[in-house]
Formats: sequence, structure tokens, C-alpha cells
Amino acid sequence: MSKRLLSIVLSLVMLFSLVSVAGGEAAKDPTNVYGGLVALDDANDPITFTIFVRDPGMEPAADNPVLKKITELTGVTIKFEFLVGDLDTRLGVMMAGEEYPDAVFAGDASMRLIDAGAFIPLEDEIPKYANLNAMYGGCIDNLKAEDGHAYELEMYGVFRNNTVVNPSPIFECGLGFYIQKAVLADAGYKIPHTLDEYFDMIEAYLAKNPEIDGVKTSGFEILCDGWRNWALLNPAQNLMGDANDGAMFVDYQTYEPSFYQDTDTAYNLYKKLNEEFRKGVISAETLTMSYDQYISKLTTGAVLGFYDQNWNFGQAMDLLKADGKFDRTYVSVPITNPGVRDGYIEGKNPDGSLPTGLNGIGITTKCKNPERLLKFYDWLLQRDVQDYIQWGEEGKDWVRTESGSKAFTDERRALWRDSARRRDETGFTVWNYSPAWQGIYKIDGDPVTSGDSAGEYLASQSEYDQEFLKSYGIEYPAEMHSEPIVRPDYFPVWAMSLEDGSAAAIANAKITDVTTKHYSRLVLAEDDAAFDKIWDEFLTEFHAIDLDALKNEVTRQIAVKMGF
Amino acid sequence: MQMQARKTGVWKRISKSKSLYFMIIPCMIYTFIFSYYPLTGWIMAFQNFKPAKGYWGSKFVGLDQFRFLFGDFEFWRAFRNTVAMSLLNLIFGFLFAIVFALLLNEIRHSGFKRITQTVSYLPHFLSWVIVCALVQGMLASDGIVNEVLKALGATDKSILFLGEPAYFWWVVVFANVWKEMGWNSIIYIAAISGIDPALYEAAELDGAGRFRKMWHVTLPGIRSTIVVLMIMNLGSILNAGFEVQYLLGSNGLLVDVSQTIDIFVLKYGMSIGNYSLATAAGMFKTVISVALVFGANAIANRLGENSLM
Amino acid sequence: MTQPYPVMHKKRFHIHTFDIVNVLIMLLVIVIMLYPFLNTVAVSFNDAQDTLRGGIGLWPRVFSAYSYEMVFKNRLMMTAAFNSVARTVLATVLCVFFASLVAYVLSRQELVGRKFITAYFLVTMYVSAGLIPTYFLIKSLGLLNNFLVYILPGLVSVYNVIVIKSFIQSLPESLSEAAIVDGAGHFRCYWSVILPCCKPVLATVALWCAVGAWNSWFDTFLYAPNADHMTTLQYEMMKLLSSSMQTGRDTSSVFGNNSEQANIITPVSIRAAVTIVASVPILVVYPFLQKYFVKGVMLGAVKG
Repeated sequence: MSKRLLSIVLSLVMLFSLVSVAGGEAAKDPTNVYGGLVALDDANDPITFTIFVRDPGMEPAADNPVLKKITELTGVTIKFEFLVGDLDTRLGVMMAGEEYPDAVFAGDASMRLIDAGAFIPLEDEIPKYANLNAMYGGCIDNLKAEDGHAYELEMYGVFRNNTVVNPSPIFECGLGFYIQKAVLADAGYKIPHTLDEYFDMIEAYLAKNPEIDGVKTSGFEILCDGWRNWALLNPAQNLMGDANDGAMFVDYQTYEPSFYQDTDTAYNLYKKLNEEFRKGVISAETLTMSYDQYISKLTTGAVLGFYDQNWNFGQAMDLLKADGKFDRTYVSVPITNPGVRDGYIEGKNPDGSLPTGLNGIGITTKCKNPERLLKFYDWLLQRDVQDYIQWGEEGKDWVRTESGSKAFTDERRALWRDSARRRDETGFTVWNYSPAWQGIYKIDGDPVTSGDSAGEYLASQSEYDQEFLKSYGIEYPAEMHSEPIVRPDYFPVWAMSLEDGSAAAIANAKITDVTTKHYSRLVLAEDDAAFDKIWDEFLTEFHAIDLDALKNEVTRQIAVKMGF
Repeated sequence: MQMQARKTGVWKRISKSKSLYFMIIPCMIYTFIFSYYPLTGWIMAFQNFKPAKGYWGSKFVGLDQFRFLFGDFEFWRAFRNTVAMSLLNLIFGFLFAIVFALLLNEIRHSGFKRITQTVSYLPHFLSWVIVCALVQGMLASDGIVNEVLKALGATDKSILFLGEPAYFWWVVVFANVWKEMGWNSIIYIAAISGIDPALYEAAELDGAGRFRKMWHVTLPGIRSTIVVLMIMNLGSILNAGFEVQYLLGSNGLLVDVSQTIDIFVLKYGMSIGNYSLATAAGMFKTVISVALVFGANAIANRLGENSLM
Repeated sequence: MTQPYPVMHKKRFHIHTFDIVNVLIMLLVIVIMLYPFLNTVAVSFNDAQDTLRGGIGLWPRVFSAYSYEMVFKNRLMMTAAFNSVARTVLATVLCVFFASLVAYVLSRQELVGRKFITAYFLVTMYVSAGLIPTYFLIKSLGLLNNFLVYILPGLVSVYNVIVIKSFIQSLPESLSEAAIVDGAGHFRCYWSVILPCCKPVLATVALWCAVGAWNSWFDTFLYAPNADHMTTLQYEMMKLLSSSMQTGRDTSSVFGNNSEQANIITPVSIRAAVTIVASVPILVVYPFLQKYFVKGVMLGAVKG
């Protein structure tokens, strides 16, 4: 009886709260409960939390002014243990010895900690905190692991909520076939859409410019060094119209995963690369290059094209920019199979995406005071605190642009781009490893972070790039691609966690091995007969892998996440 | 004295040298705690071990982990690569270190000798990442090796050293010798300095020249050190490491000759959280190593060499 | 002593060519072995961003000490340096002591069960329980976050035992027999007769132990990853090195017009600086050990 009564009362409360959200304007910005940069009531009771982070990094300086201020206002000091060495080893001993810090951000490896019972359930805690509830309340069921409890405060992403909207514009495509801007300019600012068009442009430019700044021109580079193997392994799924999904291609109509590694698309891709190798556009050496050699080659500006992800070659781009060689920088172009719509860019769901329940901070069973930590996170999520950390002071650190957006001042930009200074002089580290808003504030349309700000993006572009975009008649490089496709909730396959040592995990590792080996040899095949022979060998070895194990697991996880 | 000792029992003999036991028994207890006791962890090899569940909570899977290892063709390829690279490293590593120690010993100017020795072991302090980056630079199409070969007319086109399986093991051997020759020679230099100077005097009186002294005095003087180190290192034959091989040979063209047991275990064990597989592989390595060392030791004994036991 | 000169004269030409060839070989060795080290020094003092272009030889192209600044600008530097020195000194002394002690005992013919005891130690060299069981042991001994974890686990190194034992066995037996007959106990025989004769090999083993202790960071990583008072130089430098690998992934640096150069840290530059910082102390200590190697040889040369 009493249980039923309780549930009626609860649903009534829920109903009223929904009504009030829908009705009252004031309730739209729940992030004001503390009233800005105001001290918490237990600010005089200092407490230190140790948080393990799965990334390598350095702790911010002890005299960091922003973090000092945060500690002053909240009483909380966050001590980070960054990863040194191997993550699996660190987590393995952590779990075996049950020696947990106060909280852990383990990323993809969270599943293991959840299985180990390392975290405390949060589904009953989150609603107690206004700002945390504003962020996660709308999707708390998606935060839940298979045992029905929510263990993690997910980071990185915009989740279904009423505070921010997702589509800050997408400025650049973060991966794909990159081509030098000079090559595009030379070809009369056309956009290549197929491999043939792409390589035609490169060949034409190569013929005209056998040397660039005294260095022999290289047509196309394929980096395959250890785990940086995507240039060799991934392009086929993009050619088929998918984004960077992982080891499998997923049909968005039927949600059936399939392997792209042995398709005609793959065959034609490597055939094309092999042709270009035989023409001398691709050198054999590219497949034996180390990452450092690759970067140093890109910094010469004498490489016309490559397939990569932008963070992987950002340092080379920085050097080219520092040298003033803006025409030698690169842009991603929408290469697909003829007639296929390109899907390189992951669209953002305007309502926010669904959390995975894995990619966040978990509070461990050894945490000395979970309430204080949650309260701290709740405090951090206030608009004023977020703005303070991200943007600093108006006028001194940022200004309004003509279009009403926000942009850094030059000083602040220089500070923000110097990773050591950003770490030691701003609150970036705590922001980066705590729950945080991203996107655009609904209430006034302001960008949450500098990365969300169109004003900041445009203000940081060089004159050459502004002209370059004008020649194409576009505002951002990403517009060279089709409209971004909003990905289904399962996306992506690569983030699915496979059970340790399971047949699926083994199949996944084997696929990498077999494809790396044979694709390299395909690119360097002497002639068509040799190519086909290697392809046949590849098919035999590829199909000897327990592919079904992986396929079934991926199918199962898609079904779970899509709610089939 | 000797007659008496033989007559008295074992306990008498033990009690006679009991101070030796006072010295050794604490060390044996220590070794038991730190080396033997943790071996209870070998139980993991027969489980699907999960760190969170511990020894007693993890599922027993019998010989599944071993079956996975031995049933995989890749494992045996890794086994072959490991043994091949280890043997080459063992042979050339010893050869270069010994010859270097002998030649260094013949340098008369002591300042020059000290400097040479100090410089010779510098590469030991460089990590493999640094050494491999330098090797990659040297072997690049425009690297010094190809330039020299072209200048000598040995080849007209640059050789793709790091794309040709036939060269890979030699590249690894070269890198190893480069990095460790000086460091490995230290023990021989120490052994040479322990040789009784009277032996050289005697040889000289016999009219022996430099080479004869080297051959008849110095080399025999360090022979027992060589044999002992050789036997001990033979036991590490399944530990060819993984750094050089991964750094230089992880590209698709070389993976067939570069993958070692350690890399295999990293790939299919540690990196997918399978501690049991790593344990099973470790047990396999232990068995082979112990067999090799005791076998080699027995052979050395029979040949009348100074050996481990 | 008796007329060495005529012998020398006869062989003069022979000796001459051999010496020249030998010196040339050694010069070649110096060049080959010095190059990577000097290159590392050059890289460590070169601007990190400029280093990405490759092609640094023996001299920095754009001088910068920023990588070193990063290494030394660390609030835990003093603690780390103290711990590193303390563990290295303690581990070296104890390691040499125990290895030589065991080696002495195992070299005694009168030890009953000698073969068995030797095998007992020998096997441990090839047996490894693996990461997790070892962790359990360390935890149950209460060594987590305890300085002793840097000393205890490697106390008896069997490899060193065998090396020292084989050296002891090559000494004339008359040495120890005389001592024992004189009524000295085994410990005294070990301490005052055998040890002094083993200086070259002890110096070698000390070098091995010292370099091993000085360079290790993995034990800090496993057994005291977040205890400030336990940190070591190598662990702090590993932290810096891994964090430098992370900066490359920071997408915020991809955007924009970066004509203003920021100070950046890269794995290549940090690794170079770290390598130099870590190896200098060893290079400084080495000459003191080296005299133990050269003495015997010098003796032989003088007498010959």
C-alpha cells in the first residue's frame, strides 16, 4: 500500500515539476542556484580529492590563480593523478588491490571498474543537485549500466537538457582525405568528390611542381606506425559514406553492421593506391615511416595529400602557419565512392545526444566524502563559474565581435594556446576533467566554450584562409562537405567496450593485424596479377578470423543502445 | 682431516660449516617470499582471471589459455622470430663485446682508454625510442647508409631497408650491438683486470707477442665469465623484448618477421585485459628457460667448463 | 724485469701497425657511439617546435632550454631527487652486499647441498609470477606507499650472485684456505679476504645495481602512483614525458592562425632532455668506479 502511495506522490511531484519547467521562464536557467562566484557554506572546511585520470598530463602549478580562487570559494582542492605508463596495468592493480582514489575518469575502460564494483550508484544522488540534474536529469536512464545503476558523470558531449543547445557550428571536418590548399587553388577551387578526381588534382599539381621550396614533392602519404594505423585501415568505410565508425560499417536503414574490409570498395581503394604507387605518386617508404618522420615531412610543405585525423598532424600545421606558408596547409575534402553522399562529419543532435554511461567520472567506494564532491561539481556547473573558467573577464580576456559572438583577446588567445600556461594560469585542467557544459546557452545564445564560438573561430583565421574560404563562397571549411548527418544513438562502433579476452575482442585485434599486413603489401604490389594474388591471400586470412563473434557482439550492443 | 670428514655424517659436515648456513638461510627465506610465494599466482593461467574478482572469484577454464596460445599459428611465428632474434643478439652481442674488451685492453694510453670506454657505453642510456629514431633516419631512402651504398656503386636505387623482411633481423642485431656493446663489455673489462699479472710475465718470458698473450692469457682468463654469462643469457632466449621490434617493425611489411612472443602477449593479453594469457605465456617461457639453462649447464660441466653450479 | 727491451725491439714493426689499427678502430667506436648521445644533447637544447622539422645533427639549430626548464620546474623536484639518490645508494650498497654474500657461500665446496641451493636461487631468475600476484605480495607486506618497496624486492639479484661467484671461483683457492686455517670464521673470510679481491667485479655489479635503481620508475607507478612523498626523479620525468605525448592530441591547437609561436613540449624534445638529466649523474660517478677496472690491468702492464 505505502509503496503504491509513494509512487503516486512521486509521479505527482514529477508532473508538477514538469509543468513548472514548461511554464515558468525563470526555471529555464537552473544554473543560478548558487548565485555566481559565491562561496559554498562549507568553504572553510578544506578537503582534497584525488582523481585518477586515464590521460597523461601534468598537474597545474600550485600557485594557479584560478584554482586557488576555486578552492577559496568551495574548500575543495582537486589533486589529479595523471596516467604514467600503461592504463591497463594501472587499472589492473587498482582493481586487484581495491586501492581506489576518490574518483576515477577511466574513459573506455570504465566498464571494468563498474564490473569490479568500484563506483557508487548516482541515480538517486543526481536529482538532489540542481545543476547536475539540469545536465543529466533528462537522460538518467541512459547513464545506467546493465545492472540498472548509473555510475558515471559523463563528460564530453551535450546531453538532452534544457540549458544548452548542441549545434554550435561545425567549423572543420576532423578527418578524411586531406589536400593542400595550393593544389585546390591551382585546380580552380573545385571540390574533388571521388578518389579519381582527388588523385587527378594531385597528379596535375605534381607534374607542374616536382619540387616545392627545394624539397622533392610527394603526392600522397600513408602513415602506418604502430597504433596510428587509420590512414591504411579506415578510408574504405568513409568511401562508403560512413563517418569514423570503427571496425564495422553500419547501415543506417537496417542498423545491420557489416565488414567493409573485404568489400569492392576496399578492393578498389587499394587498387587505386597501388596504381598511384606504380605511377610514383606514392612512395614505398611512406609505409615504413615513423610518426616523427611523417610529421617532419609534412612540415616541409612538400606533401600534397594524405588521409589522417586532424589532431594527429596539428603540430605540423602549426609549423607551416608559423612559417607563413598558409597555402601549404591542408583541408579535408569529401571523397566517397561515385554517387555516394559523404558522411565524414558527425552531425550534432540539436537536442543533445545520449550519454554512453561509460565516458565519465565515477565516484569510488573509497571516496572520503561523495556529497562534497558532487556539490563541488554542481557548483562548477553554474553559468558564471563556467564562463569564469572558459572566458575570463570581459574586456580583458574576451570581447564581443560585430556579429555578437564572443572572441578572445589576442593575449588570452596566446595564453589559451600555450598548453603549459593554460594549465598553470587558468582553470582549464579542472574544467577538462569535471562535468562541464558545451554548446550554446539556450537563454542568450552565447557560446559555452571558445571552441563553440563562431566569433572566436573566425577571429583566429589568417588572411589567406579568409580569402580561400571566400573563393569557395563558404564560411567554414566544413561546408565543403555535405550537411552533417546526425548519428544514431549507437554511434560509434569503436567506442563499444568488448569484454576482456572475449572472442569478439580477439577478433577485433586479429582484424587489425591481418588488414595492416595485407593492405601494405597490396599498395606495393608489382603488377595486377601480384595484386590479385595478395588480395586472395588476404580474403583467406580475413575469413579465417572469427568475424561472427565481433559481428554478433556489435549487433547486440547496437540493439541495446537503439532500444530494439 | 679429509678421511675424518668423509666418515662423519652429513649433519656433522653441516654443523661444521654452520656459519655458512647462518649466512645463506635468511637469503633463502627472502627469496622464497619474493620469488616463490607469488607463484601461487600461476593459478591465473588456468582461469579467466579478472582483477576485480581475485583468484577465488575468477572462473576456471582449464587449459583454454594454453590452447589459445599453442593453437595459434601467429604464436609459433612469434616464437620463431623471438628465438631467431635472440640467438643472433646473443652471438653477435657477445662477440662484439668480447672483441671490444680485448682490443680496448691493448690500448696503452690510459687516458685514451678511459675515454673510449666511457664513450662506448653511452648509447646504453638512450632509450630504444631514441635509438630507433636514429636507426630509422640512417636507413631512410636519403639516409647515410643508402648514400654510402650509392657512392660505392653497390646500388643505384635506394634500398627500402625497413620494408624488406630479409633485412629486419639484422637491423635489430645491429641496433642491439650499437646500443649495448660498450655496456656489455664492462664485465669483461672487469674480468680482465682480475687476471693475475704473473701470467703475463710468464708468457712474456716465453717470448709471447701481443696476439699470443691475448689468446693464451687474456682470453682464458675471462673464459669462465664468458661461459657463465652465456649460459645465463641462454635462459633469456624467449625474451627478445618488444620495443625495437615494435618501433621498427610494426609496419605491415615486416610484421611477419618482427612480432615476438612479448608483442603477441601484449596484443592478445594485456591490451585486452587478459592477464591469464600473459601468465600462461610466462609459464611456458619459464619452462623452456629453465630447461635450457640446466641443459647448457650440464653440457658445460661435462666439457669441464666452469659453470653455474 | 730482465731485459725487456730487446723483446720490444724485435716486435717493434708488428706492434706498431697493430697499435695504429687498434687506435683507429677505437676512434671509429668513439665516433659511432658518441654520435647518438651528442645528437640527443643537441635535440634537448633545440626548440621543440623546430625539432619537428627533423634533421638535427650535432648542434642545436634554434637554441632553447625550455625542455630543461620544464624538467626542473616541478614542485616535487627536491623530494624526487632525494628519493632517487637515497634509493640508489641504499639499493646499491645492500644489493652488492647480499649478492656477494650469497656468492661467497655458494662458492664454498664444503657447503652441503650446494647444488640444490644454487639451483634454488638460479630458477628464480627465469620465473616470474607476473604483475598482479607480485602486487598482492607487496600489498600484503604493507609496502604500498612505503619507501622500503624501493629496496626490498631486488635485494638478492641472482644474476649478480652468479657473476660474483664465478669471479670468486677464479681466485686462487689458497687465499681463503689460508684464512680458514688461521681460524677465521666464514664471515670474516668473506669480509676481509674475499671481498677486497673482488673489487673489479663488485664495481661492475655496483654499477649495474645503481643504474637499475636510478632508472626505475615502474615500481613507483605500481606501488606509489599518487604519494607525493614517494616520488622519484624518473617517475616525475616519466610524467612529464607522457604529458608531452598528450599535447599533440589537443585539438584546440589545430584551429586558427598560429603566427605567434607558443612554447610547446613534444615527446622528442622532452625525451632528449630527460635522457640527459638521467644519465649525467651516472657519467659523473663512473670514473670513480672505473679506477677499479683499470688498476689490475695497469699493474699487469707495468710489470709486463
